[in-house]
Amino acid sequence: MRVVGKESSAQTVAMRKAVERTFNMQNRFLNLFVVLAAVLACANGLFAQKAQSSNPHDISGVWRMLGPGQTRAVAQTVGAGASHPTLGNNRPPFTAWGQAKWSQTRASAQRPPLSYVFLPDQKDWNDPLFVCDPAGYPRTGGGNSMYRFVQVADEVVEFFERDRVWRDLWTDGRKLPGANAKPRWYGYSIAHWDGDTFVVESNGFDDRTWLDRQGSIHSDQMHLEERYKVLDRDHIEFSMTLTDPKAYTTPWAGPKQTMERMESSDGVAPGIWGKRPNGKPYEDIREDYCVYSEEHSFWINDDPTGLGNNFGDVLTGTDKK
Amino acid sequence: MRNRFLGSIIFFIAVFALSSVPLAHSGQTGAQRAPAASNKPFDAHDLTGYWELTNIGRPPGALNTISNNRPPMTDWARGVFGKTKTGYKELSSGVYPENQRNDPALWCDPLGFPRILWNSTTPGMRFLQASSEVIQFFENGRAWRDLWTDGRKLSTGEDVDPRWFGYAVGKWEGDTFVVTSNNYIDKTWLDQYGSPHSDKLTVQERYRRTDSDHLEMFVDITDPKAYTSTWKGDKKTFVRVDKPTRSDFNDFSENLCVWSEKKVRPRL
Repeated sequence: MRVVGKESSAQTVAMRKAVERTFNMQNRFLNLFVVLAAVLACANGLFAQKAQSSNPHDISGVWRMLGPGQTRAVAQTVGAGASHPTLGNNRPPFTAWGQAKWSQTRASAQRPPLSYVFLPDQKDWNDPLFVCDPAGYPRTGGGNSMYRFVQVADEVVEFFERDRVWRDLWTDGRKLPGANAKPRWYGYSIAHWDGDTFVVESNGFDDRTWLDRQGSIHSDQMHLEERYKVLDRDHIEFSMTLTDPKAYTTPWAGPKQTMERMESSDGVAPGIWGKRPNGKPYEDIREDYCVYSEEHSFWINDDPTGLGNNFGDVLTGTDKK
Repeated sequence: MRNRFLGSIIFFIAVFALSSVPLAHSGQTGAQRAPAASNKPFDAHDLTGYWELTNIGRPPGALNTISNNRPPMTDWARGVFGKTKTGYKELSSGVYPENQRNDPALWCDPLGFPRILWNSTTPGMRFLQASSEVIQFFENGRAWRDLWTDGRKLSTGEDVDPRWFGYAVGKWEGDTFVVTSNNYIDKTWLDQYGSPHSDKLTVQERYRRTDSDHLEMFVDITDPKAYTSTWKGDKKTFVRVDKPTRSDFNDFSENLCVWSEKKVRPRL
């Protein structure tokens, strides 16, 4: 032990205290620096997250389907660039059953060879949409119709403007129903993620719907597989394959199409909801019902009342009977 | 020892208070009794689930509408109402034979809101809560409403395209989810009795979970073009169902009104 004098001891203690104070101050400064650096790093990370694409396994939002080969809308008007989730023109050969069913269609679309025949008089058309039958899937999508997905724990809900209907794309592990399931206009659907692709499988479709305007038919054995491959936050590559051994001799694989994210449907007037504080529109899609009582052009072959009255007069109570 | 005795008394009182033994309301004849309170824990701010309308707690003779106490109509509404033709005596303009009735639901017009709540062939309702909204699904007609909770405001302008199911925003006031909606197409009826409304209709709904399995709702109608005062609704009670009963797929059945099914038509 070193022996120091009294005066030296006091100095040493004072020096030691001064050193300790300095060291403590340095420590506090260092601690503060570390905390600030951590805060900055977190903030940067959050900012970077926001600047990057959102969760790639979440397709929530409003989407427009572009036509095959298109990568962006060609114009900014309603429906511009919007297309149908088609299976394309390479329809496989019909089975005998499929041929017989297709031969009864009288489409409004003049597009051989997809349409069986084109008759110019509307009275001869029998497209089920002209009596406001549900469009079914996939016909209800595309055209002027936007899509909206809302993703929650057990499912992705897909909303359509046309017909104002939804499909539940269940992701909770349930299986598709068997052959005895009651047919539905929009079928039954389940889904799962396969890497960066959202895969939807559907069956149980009511066979009264057409697949397109040309009258492509299907049976109650139709099975659809849709693949939504997330390219980036704002673009999805969509493709669909139909398998229907009762109607077609081989599966029908459609072309790849691009879906583009929209802030909101351009079928909803911008002034309806105003704008968010950041200047972007509030999300919404339009309400587009097929209402038979309003579609006067659909009544060409029909007196809905069966009473010989003008349909509109019956609704307003001005009919004489 | 006295403390232990006191503690036992307190314990038994607590057990009794928290038990699910119902306290029957008096004077409720002709309607379902008040529901047995469920003691299962629940989140009062979560309406998620499948719900079905009941007659629990409704007054005797309650009709399928906002309440039996419809306020007086304006001249405009009387003119519209006078043309409606139903088969009902109550609240209607007269009883008409079947082939003269003109309920728009007969032609598969959308039912609109709030009629879809109490005049559906299938009574299922489902709430789903997402980040910017509560979605209200209806089994009947496969209809849905977006009850936006993201801060947007209803438009009160004149140039809004009206909708069959209007436009709606919602917010929480304590444990009550309050929804306000407007801009409804005026072709719908408020009920099966022909109660009319105009395009000036505003609807306010209040939903509150009273326990895990029950949801109470009040619907008030304000429509100065059609009624001289607000039509205040009586309390409706929904019960939660774990599994929708009309589907084997643990979802809503698909219940669409299809005009081509209303008459015999040739099939493709």
